[in-house]
Amino acid sequence: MGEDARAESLRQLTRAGARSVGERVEALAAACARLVEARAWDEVARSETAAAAALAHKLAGSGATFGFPHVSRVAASLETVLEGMVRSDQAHADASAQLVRLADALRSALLRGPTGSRTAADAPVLPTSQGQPQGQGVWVVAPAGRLEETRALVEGLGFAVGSLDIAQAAALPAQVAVLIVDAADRVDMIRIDPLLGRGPTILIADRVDLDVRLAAARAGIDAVMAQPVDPAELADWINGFVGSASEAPYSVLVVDDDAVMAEAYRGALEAAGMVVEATSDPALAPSLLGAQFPDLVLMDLQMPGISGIELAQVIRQSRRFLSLPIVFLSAEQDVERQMRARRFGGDDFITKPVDLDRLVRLVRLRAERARTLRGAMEHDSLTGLLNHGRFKDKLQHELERGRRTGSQISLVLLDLDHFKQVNDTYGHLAGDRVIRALARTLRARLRRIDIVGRYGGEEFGVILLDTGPADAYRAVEPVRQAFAHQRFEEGGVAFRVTFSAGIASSRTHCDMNDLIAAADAMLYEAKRAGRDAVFVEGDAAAPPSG
Amino acid sequence: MPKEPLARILYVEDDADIRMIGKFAMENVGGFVVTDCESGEEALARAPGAAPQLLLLDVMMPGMDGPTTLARLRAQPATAATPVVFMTAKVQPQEVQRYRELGAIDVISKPFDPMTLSDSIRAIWNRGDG
Repeated sequence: MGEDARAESLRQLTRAGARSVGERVEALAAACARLVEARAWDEVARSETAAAAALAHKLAGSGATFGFPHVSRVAASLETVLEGMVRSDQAHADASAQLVRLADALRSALLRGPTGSRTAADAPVLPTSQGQPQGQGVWVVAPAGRLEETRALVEGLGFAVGSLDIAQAAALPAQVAVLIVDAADRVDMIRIDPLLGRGPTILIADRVDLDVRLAAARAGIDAVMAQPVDPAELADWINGFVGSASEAPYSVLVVDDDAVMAEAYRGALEAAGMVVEATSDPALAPSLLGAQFPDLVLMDLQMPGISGIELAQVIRQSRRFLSLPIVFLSAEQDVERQMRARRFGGDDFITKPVDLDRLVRLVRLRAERARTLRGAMEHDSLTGLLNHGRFKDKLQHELERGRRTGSQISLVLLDLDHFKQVNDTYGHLAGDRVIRALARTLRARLRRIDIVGRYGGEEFGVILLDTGPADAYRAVEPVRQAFAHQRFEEGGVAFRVTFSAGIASSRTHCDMNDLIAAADAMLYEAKRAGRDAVFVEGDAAAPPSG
Repeated sequence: MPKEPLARILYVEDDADIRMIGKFAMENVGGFVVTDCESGEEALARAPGAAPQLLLLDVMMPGMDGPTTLARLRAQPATAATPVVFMTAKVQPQEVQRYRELGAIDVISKPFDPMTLSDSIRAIWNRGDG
């Protein structure tokens, strides 16, 4: 068998396996939910727990083989918890809480998808649902007759949407970024009751009066809209909800010379949805920092070789890490020493032995605050995207990383077509709405790891990681199509706006300024050829064939 | 003494998906001849015909687990002294010690990477304390 054929067969096998990973994740999460609801610890509960532990074991041992390393890790934690229940022969309240949390983490680990995949064929397949949204997790639930219409409405706003017939609503994931429910009548209202509490919920109803509003408020529904729906208002609602939920997960670097503890912290933080690098070698920390750019460093104060305080000093020697929060883990009750550690940049202390729940809460709080501060400095206030300066920093950083790892990136420059005319005809507020809509479309349609910035007034930049020119085209072209179909309205007049884009690759331009100039030249070509087009360097005349 | 190259592997794994990709990887990436079995019972029945040079056993299997399968294989002349490698998702130091006491020359941790599995196996074989 040739190299290519072999790789292809392996890919097919892996894909088949990925499906079974999806099925097992669902089965295990469902088993956990049943166990949490079980009233008593009896023979049935015991054997179900043992069966779930066996399933978790299988998943832990197979997930990464099929490209889901995070599923493997979370499943391993679940196995430990479930086995603990079997061994102690009882159910604990805190074990239940852990099961709930881990089952959620397991589903999100699956949604994070196979490592390094871009194509839809490699994406996880959830056995229970049709039309799985990529990334954002905006879901529409509606009666069969209205499903398509509502789905099209939300998609038209630039969101990736999953949709479910209200009769099959039980298949809705346990956690969604936004749930939009189109309920025709009271029967529908009763049917959606079990769906609530899975994420921010918007109700669309034919008739909205105080009764409906009150019932919705009591059910915990966040927003109520009457038919016919005002697209702009719906977009603002979804945006408000997604904006807070779709932020990249917090990223944490854990340094503890005790490898077992480092793994335990990693497990707890990952179960809380964070992205974690862990090392037991403090000497590796500085290079990991450079590669990861974490939101926070969690480290042991006392380590052999390099102490936590020394490592903190080293970290603070770099300007870009001056504001990076450092949390120390310490068995130290000595206030003097803690003060010394604080002086060298320790922001907080957690006393060993560590309460993992407290650890997670504290890390989240610190990371959140650091990100808010940094966000205000680095992001464009209109779109929430990276500002020009920060975008170029990231581009430089990714180019350097590419040189080290041999991976290539593609740079995309986009520019709205005839934007001045939009501003002149419909006013600046309408123009701002268009800019925000494009920002949202880019975020919703691209992968979470891709970097999006507002490059100038009506110009945007996108860094596609591990992506060659042909794949970059395949990623950007659907965005162009989706955006061109988006309808805007101002003063009762409907209009559409298009953009042009140019793409260049780090394979041919390893210097940042060269790369920008090349993408810019392609953008210029696209404009000259009549706009509303995506041009790739080396194949300016037409979409690439590969 | 130079060792003969590794060719024939008896692979016991109850999980069909894993067994399929493991066998495929060892045959196509590693070039080994793999006899795959879904249970200890099947391994006992097929081992004499397969004349394996190496046994690759999953530890946790329903029914007859890896260590039990090994004990029973040891009672058969064809596999009385065949080197064995365990595969397990739980690689705690004390457990590795236990598997070694049972006669394993090494332990491969799961989940494995299909692209590098064969290299790991060959490295274990060539290291040669089997």
